[in-house]
Amino acid sequence: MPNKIAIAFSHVTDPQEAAYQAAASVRTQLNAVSPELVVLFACPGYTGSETLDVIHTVLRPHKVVGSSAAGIILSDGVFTRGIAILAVISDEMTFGIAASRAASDGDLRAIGFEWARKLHTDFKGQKHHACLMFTALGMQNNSQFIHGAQEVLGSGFPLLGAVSNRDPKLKKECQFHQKDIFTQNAVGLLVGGSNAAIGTKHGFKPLGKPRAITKVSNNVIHEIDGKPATHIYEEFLGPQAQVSGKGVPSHVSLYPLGIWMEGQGQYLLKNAVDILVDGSIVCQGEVPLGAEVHLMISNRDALKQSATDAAAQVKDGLGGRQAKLIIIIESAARHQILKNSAFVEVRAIKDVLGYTTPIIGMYAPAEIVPLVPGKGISDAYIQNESISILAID
Amino acid sequence: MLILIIVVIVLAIITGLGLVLYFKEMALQKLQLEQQKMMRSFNELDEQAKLIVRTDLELNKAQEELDKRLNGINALQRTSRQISQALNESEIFQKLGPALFEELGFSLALIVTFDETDKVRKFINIGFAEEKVQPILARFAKDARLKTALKESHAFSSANSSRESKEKIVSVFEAEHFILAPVLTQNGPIGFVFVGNRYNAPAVTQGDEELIGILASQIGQSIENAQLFEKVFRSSQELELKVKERTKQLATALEQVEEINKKKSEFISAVSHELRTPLTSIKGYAAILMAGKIGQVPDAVKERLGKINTHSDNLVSLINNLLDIARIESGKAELKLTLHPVKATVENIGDLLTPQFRDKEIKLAINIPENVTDLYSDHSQSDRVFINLLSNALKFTPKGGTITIAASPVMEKGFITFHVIDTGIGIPPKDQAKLFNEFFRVENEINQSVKGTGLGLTLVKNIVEAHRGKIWLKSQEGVGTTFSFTLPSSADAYNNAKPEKKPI
Repeated sequence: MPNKIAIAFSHVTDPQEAAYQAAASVRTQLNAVSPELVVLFACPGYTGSETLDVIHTVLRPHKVVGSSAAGIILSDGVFTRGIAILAVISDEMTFGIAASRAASDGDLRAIGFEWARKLHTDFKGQKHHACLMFTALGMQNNSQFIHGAQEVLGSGFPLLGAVSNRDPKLKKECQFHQKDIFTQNAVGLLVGGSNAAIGTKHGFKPLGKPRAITKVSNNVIHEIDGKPATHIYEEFLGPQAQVSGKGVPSHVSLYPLGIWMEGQGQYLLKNAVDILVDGSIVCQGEVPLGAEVHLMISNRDALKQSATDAAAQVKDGLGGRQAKLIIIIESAARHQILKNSAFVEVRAIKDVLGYTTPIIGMYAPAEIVPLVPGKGISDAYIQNESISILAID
Repeated sequence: MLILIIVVIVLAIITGLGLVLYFKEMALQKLQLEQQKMMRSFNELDEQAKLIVRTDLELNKAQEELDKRLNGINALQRTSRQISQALNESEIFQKLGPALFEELGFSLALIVTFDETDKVRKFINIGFAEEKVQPILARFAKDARLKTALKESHAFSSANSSRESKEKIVSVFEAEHFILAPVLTQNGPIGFVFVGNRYNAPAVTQGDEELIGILASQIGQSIENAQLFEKVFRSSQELELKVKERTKQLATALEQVEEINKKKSEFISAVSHELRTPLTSIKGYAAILMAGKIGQVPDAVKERLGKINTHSDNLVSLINNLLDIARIESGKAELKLTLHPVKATVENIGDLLTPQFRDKEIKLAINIPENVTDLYSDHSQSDRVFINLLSNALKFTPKGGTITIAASPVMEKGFITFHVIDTGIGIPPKDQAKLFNEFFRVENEINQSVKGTGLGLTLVKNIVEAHRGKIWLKSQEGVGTTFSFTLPSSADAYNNAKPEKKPI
């Protein structure tokens, strides 16, 4: 059977009904054939077990992975409410999936190693070409996990992922794996039999003179230029900052920290996910000691341009081949800047990659992306404020 | 000498070194100046960056407020449209879902309406725990000042209210940022809209207050409209019920009238039959006496016998008419419908009445268009229509007048429209509607001098309607009268027409 890709979405208020509508639409598009793979993105309020039950009942898929999302990206719009399903039937593509508990209290490198082994075992296929992963927000230092995975999967193929969104009411992040809903897991998908290309950009520029990270422990920046880390916000944002000990004000995400990655020649963007009483900034993923750091700034035009640039990277990676499917992982913080005009990014991507390729994606609190696409899994970092595109041809 | 040379060389070296040092020092000073300049530029750049960030932050906040306002207006417009179409209060409350308040930027909402006795009639709760709602309503009910202020159409917000009011509302609703606005109708406030956020939420803005004010008044207006609609709907239902009852009563009455009418016809028919036999005997005996078959009768007796004969004829004519009417009304008579030429029929009738026209010196004009060829009727009955109408016209048209029999060239649904037009004395408007009633006779000099039964036009009407046609008249006193009636031109026209009366 040739490749058949179906995407459906629903945002009716009742989550069960929404799941049914989306699944029924997918079933129709696939002529009632059970899909090999289902990828599910669910916004807050749509992450209950009834959603997954409906999808299994209606579609009877072989493999299911997915994540809770802050929003959903489709070729005809972006939504902050609803549920989206991607389903694939293919003779060419092969898929492997795996899930592992990945809480911060464990040895994340070992967990990553084990997770990748499970993924590899389930894959049983040809050469894998791309890996998609969804992890928990609680696992704030995911870098070790990625290093562990790298030891099994090796480098040289594209890795893209997202940190699952936290449902504000349920106070948890969800990762979907087969019929299970996990909250502290890493769920992965290996894709083989097809080529893939990744593009990633953020569109932010550094502000002011360079500062240095002078005290750090893994993902917690304690001091910048010898002062409590939050001092940088107070300096730049003035009296409106008021960040220490009061949680993270929403406007802080407009100005992420840009950490200069010497070896990559790129800024790695980090948002504060928490502010400690001593003025330390908690980020997602490791932060190198002594690195140059700036406050970063962008605007709507620069963000749109970054989407165009990311799409251009994908186009280069595809080498003239036409993509069959585009998956977008984008920072939820960008949606805060773009708001009603968020769809301009999708339009920009379509302008570069064409208007017929199906698009599905999610807004995430953090992204797992290669800073310089094409360099492989060793370059995957946990970043904020970026837009990343995975194209499978 | 050697020493001198050495001294000179040393001095030269010292001077040279001094000069080098001097220039180095100069270069260093220059570099330091450059470095200071660069540092200053760097710091200035940093300060500029800070300024840029603060300006950007302000712009972002303004943009955020603008976006929020825009979203709020859109959500409000959408909701307004929905609630304005709602037909009852419950439906209005159903449309006020969490999405609206989320788009307006509030996680809590409580909308309450009260009845005339200040008891809660309906409420909608968004974001409050179910068990919290009743205590909130109880605390609100106890706060007379707050209630009074709302009744006086005052709105409150955490941004603009006095500290005392703010503390009071926070203690009632347990929300730090809030707006409390009355739901107003033309008869005054009927409830309130409360929206709020607990903690860590942006402060309420003037734009928020305006939007919630609009929402509250829109809810009030919609409730008022829904109540009005309900009232109108209930009235129309009552009216419909009354109409149905009245129609039923009228139908029963009509049935009774029809029953009575039938009995009347049967009675007339029976009585007429009973009267006709003795009348025939009376007429027969009078004729025998007049013919002198039993012996010669004196002239005075002959004269009286003549009167008996004339009155008997009148009585027979009256009874015949009554019998015909009764037969048509009771449905006992049967039409013998045939197709026959119009022009010939009308001309025959004209010929039949020629002596009367000649006697009164009245001109008869016949105007039947070429395209009006056939008449589909019971020949004898349709002749009676023409004869009756012409006789009437003759009776009321003075000497030297004209009577015209005409037909319209245009047929309506296959029916020919005939007109009998006279230049007679006309009929007063007050009598025109009663003209087809049984035994009705217009009060005028002619009618007083000429005897009549008052059944002719009733019979004409019955015959026309039995042919599924209709009859009407136009008259002007002193100018003349036109009787118009329709008769079918074909079997199709007759069959397609709706019967006005039961068939003969």
